[in-house]
Amino acid sequence: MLDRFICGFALAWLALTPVAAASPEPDLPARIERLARDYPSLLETRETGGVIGVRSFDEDLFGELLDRIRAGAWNSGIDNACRVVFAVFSEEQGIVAAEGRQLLHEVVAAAIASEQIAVLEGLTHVLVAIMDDAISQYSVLAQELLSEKLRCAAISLGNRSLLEAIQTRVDPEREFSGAAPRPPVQGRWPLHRHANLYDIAARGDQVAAVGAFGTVLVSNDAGGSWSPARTGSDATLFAVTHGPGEELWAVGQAGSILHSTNAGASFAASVSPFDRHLFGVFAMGSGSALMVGDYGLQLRAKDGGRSWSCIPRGEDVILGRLVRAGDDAFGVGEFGTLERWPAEGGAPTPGRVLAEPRDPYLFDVWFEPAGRVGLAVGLAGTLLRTVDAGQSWRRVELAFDGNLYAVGGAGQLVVIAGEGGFLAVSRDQGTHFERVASEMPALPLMAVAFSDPVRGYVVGAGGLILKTDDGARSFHAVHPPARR
Amino acid sequence: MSGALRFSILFARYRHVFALLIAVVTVFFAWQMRHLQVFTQFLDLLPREHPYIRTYEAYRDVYGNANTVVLEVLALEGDIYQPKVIAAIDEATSLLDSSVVAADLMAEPVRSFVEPQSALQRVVHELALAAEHLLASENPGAAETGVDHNLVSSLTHRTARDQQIDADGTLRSPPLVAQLPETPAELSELRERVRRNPSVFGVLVSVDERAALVRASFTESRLDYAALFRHVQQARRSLEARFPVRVFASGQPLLFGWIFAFASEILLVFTLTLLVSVALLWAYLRRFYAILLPLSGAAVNVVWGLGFAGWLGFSLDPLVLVVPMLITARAISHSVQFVERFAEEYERLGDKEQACIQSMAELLLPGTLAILTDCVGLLTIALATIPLIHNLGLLSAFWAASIVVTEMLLNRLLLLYLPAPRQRERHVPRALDGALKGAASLIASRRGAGSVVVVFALIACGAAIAARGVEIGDSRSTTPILYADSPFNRAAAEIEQRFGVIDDLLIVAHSRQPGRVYQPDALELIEELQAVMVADPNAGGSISFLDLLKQTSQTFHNGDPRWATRMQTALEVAAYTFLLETSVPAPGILDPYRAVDQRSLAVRVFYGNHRADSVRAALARLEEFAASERLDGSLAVRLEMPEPGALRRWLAGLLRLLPPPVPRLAVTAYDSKGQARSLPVETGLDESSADGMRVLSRWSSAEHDVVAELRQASRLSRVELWIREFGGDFEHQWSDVWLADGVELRRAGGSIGVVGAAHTEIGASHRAGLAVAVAATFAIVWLSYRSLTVACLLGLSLGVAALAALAGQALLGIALDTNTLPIQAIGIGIGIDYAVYISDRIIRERRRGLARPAAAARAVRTTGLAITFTASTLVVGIVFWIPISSLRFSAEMSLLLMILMTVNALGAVLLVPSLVRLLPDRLAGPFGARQVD
Repeated sequence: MLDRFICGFALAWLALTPVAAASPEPDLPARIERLARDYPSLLETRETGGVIGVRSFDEDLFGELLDRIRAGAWNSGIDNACRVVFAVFSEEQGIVAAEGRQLLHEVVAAAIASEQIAVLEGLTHVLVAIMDDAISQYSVLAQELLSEKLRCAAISLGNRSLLEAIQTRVDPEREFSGAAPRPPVQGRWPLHRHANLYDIAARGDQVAAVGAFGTVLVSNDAGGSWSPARTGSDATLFAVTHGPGEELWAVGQAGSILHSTNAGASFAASVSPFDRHLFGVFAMGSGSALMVGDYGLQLRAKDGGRSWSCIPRGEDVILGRLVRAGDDAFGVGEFGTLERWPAEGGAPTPGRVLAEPRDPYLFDVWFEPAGRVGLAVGLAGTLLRTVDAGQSWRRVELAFDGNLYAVGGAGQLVVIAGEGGFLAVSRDQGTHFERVASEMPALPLMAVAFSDPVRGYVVGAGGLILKTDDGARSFHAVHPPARR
Repeated sequence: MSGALRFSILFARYRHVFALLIAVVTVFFAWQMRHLQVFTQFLDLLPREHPYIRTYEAYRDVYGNANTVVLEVLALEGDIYQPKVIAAIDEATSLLDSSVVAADLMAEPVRSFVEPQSALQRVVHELALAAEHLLASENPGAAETGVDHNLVSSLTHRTARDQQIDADGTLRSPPLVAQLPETPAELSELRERVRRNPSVFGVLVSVDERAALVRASFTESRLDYAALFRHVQQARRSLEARFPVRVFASGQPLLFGWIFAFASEILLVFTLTLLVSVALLWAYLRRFYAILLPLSGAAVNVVWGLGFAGWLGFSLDPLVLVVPMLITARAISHSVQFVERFAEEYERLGDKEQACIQSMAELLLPGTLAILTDCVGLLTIALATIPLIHNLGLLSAFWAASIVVTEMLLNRLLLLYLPAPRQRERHVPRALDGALKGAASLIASRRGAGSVVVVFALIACGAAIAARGVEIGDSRSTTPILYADSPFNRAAAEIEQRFGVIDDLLIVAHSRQPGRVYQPDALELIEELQAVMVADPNAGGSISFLDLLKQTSQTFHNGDPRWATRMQTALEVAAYTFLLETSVPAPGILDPYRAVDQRSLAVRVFYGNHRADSVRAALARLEEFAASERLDGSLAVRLEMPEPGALRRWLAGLLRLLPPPVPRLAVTAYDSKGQARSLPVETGLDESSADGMRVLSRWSSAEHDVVAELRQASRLSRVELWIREFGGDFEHQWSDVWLADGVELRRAGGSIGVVGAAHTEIGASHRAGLAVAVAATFAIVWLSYRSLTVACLLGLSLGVAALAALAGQALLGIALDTNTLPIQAIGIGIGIDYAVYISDRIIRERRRGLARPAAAARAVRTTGLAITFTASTLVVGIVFWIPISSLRFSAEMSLLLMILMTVNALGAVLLVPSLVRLLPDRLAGPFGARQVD
């Protein structure tokens, strides 16, 4: 589906932007000659009607080439080989064109694995050339690889100049120059009152909910009163979490990050090196946090967001919430992504979904404090349960086929929530659920958080915050304030 | 001998000539009456010059108009997801979507759709129905509803779309209901799809899922209100009879329908008023001519008035029919003055001819003066830019002016032709005379007069305080024209309570540059505008193209609500726009949201009502937002060379050898107060034209700042350009300046924008009109009597009347709007009439040699009697509106007028003589004169 989406982008890009002035590699025949000298038999071409296509391609030789790149080599011969291969493959259709697409991914993966600035810089030039060639069918892909993979690698290597070089290339140019960015609407208009809320975090009496228009609602009396924080940002916030002590993180739209060290009394706003949405945040303590988001984005912020490291990821996948599972972080996302992030750092270890015909799209996950038993919820009534700390998951049957957006709980108590105001509660750690009758309108419910087995919160569209004081036997609205 | 007396003698001598003239003119107007129409043209109710109305008119063909009918289909039991209820919604949809009203339905009287509640109403209903049957035309034929098929929205209409993603990733928008669901599975699937669809759930289906809305917009030019009313009411009846549903119908076009349905009652009221007036006149005056004169004069007066309206092609709005009736009442009042005065003179002189001439001469000045001041008051309402009120002002001014001829002259003529009355003594009703005698003796004493003035001063103070409470615009959530328990208002209340969306406000984000409004910053502006407008507690929701884009994004991301987020880059917007546009299979479905020329996007905000305070709050919010949140671009000027005229072509031929002239450009910016400020501009043509026009070089940022600063400081309302050529011998005015790459929020259409514009205009007209009326009256009286004292006295009387009118409105909770403004203006005019008559009489009695207290007392007993006659006749005459009229408006207006006439009569009979009595000699003016004329 994501490919279709990219195609949609590509079509729209072609349909709606004037054809760029850049022409395809003007000296392709000369380059082909040079390739034949450097790497004979890598690529044989054919020419039909003025169009140069692929006659044969030596995958083994290309594999060797990738190994050399992975080892940190980059020279004009490799540069030329890459340019020719992708120029010729982009003239092809169907399966051959798809193969070229795969090759491009492989080259990028190899270059990133090299962890060499020179290699990354070299590849950046190749990708920029492909991107600028508006006729090439890999133009959009090249832009995305630059924007995602190479930028990520540059961040992790801490190389500012390469990062900036990429950023200036991939940032979509504003067509109408001179339009100064508008100051945040927050503070001028009280939009936080009925803004859609997407996440809530609760610890003791401290509760924080986040949502559209940069809304952060903070309560220090367990939901008795709510005060909007002046965050100085209008960006929609998708996730919020408490860190150790008074630390509070919120992340969201286009890489927006808010960090508070005084329990939400004030926030420092920053933006991640990527303008992708961030959907999950996990506080690691002392100003560090793990953040995940769109297009497989995985970032670690240090010093409250002043420095970064980027964890490259093989596939493009939307990553959703991050929660605590024992000492580790646990994340879910598109295509059945269920991963444990070790507390000591390093790459995540994936879990498996057993006896499930397709990969479910997962929106949220919850673990009991020990991190052994957990529940994940997702698209079309998907409800998964693990008892082995997230290594394997099995479906729990539920008489509901709408989307489930949220799960949360405390001890034996688990509450799930979703589309159309759906709320259900389990008192046996997620083996059996029963619906909570609610008088609330049929709005989507987006997040569940419990501060203890008695007190819990659910947030939803239009500034809705529901609270329970009796262990999810009943819920009542504590926000938004009455309109009339 | 005075001029008035000379004219009266001449008039008596050449009576045949005058009779012929009046007859000819009356026949002319009677002939013109055939053009007369009683209907309401929606555009006539709007101030055409108001910027909101300009926006409304500019976009009504693109984004729909304010003529929206809303049907709510409420399931009697359970929710709407039952086969029969869905079928009812579907049928309601197709009924509203159909454009023809059947001929047999058109033959039904409009009144037959009224359902009387009480016994009295049933009697009235039967009589009105009979009247309508009498007046109905034989074969009306089928009529058009004028529905705009693309602006119909309903759960089962093709415009309600569901977004789906196919397995291969293609986005599709099939109709939400392609086939009516039958099985429980299908029904529950529909329920889930509706819940997921934010443009349907809570908008077309209520949040409690018990009711669905069907909305339809109708094109003004093709809309026949009475036909549409029949169509909708018939649909409502047939749906309720065949399906387990209740149907509520609301919307502006139906309100007009209800007014038409009740119009036939007016005939009944007129008849009753006539009968009662005749009876009262007989009871008071006991003379044949005392009835013949006022009524014949009134009849001719009506012919003149209606004939004038027909001649000029004015249509009469059923609601303001009460105005002509009031003027006719004024005619009767003047006539009674004359009849009473004649009786008095006849008693004194014993000769009919002499008595006639004498009374005519005596009343010529005050009568004409009273009518003239009435006219001025009525002409001030013609200052309004709302065509309906403007026309009404002109018509009623003429109508009132014609009283001079149709009553004053015609009465005298008739009397001259009639045989002399048999009895010389006039009949004086004893009770009335006793009361007036008491009043006269009260006024004659200094202390009594003083206490009268104090009481009136207190009343005036109280009225002044109360008058501050007058609201502009409907003060109730339902329409004040109808009673709260009327079907229309009950439907409106039901829909407001369940959906909160009856009225809408349309704001158009516009840019001259195609595609500019799709830029992320423009969408950000739209998103904030929507959020700010919806934060208003009266607002029920909002929808724009951006919402559709967000929905597309959400659908594309497996329905995850977090993805219903505004796009960040132009590329993303382009991608989702592309997906959205290509996913819509039927044309026209996106038309209510975006214009095909890519220059504008529509933002709609929905409201549950158009109460004055909520409209004011909504528009104040909108204006505040628009003033502070803008996307300015650099200013550019479109310079279109006008086609040169003959002289210019000749000149150009002559001057061919010279280099072509460069137009010199002068730019003047006006703020909303009309303060001008010229802006420096560079002159020179930029040949790189954007859209076939020549675009003048953009203003540098410095000048842009000037405009920005001006806009910020004073809400710049308009920029004007003067292009001067040939050293100034050719001037061309231009006001087509635009922000070349900025986005402006054009305000405001929809029923809220339209009503808001009318309110602003009425507020302005009302203040201007009041000031002009008072000043003009003052001037007229001053010139007529050449006395400041009389002018002040009458001005005071007018002031008290105006205050009383406003206080009455405030106390009854009647707001100033398009309908009440003319009536209020007339109410003020009435105030002066009685006062003119009584003060004139005092002056005359003084000239005859009576001392001031005695003159005042005598005027009270003579002219005061006539005033009491007319006032009480009129009050009793219009009392029938209150129980009979189904229009709450008419009932309230008559109550208001009853209060007004009572206050005015009391003022004339008590206050004016008391003031005269108390005036110090050196200030008394004509009241102090001792010489006999």
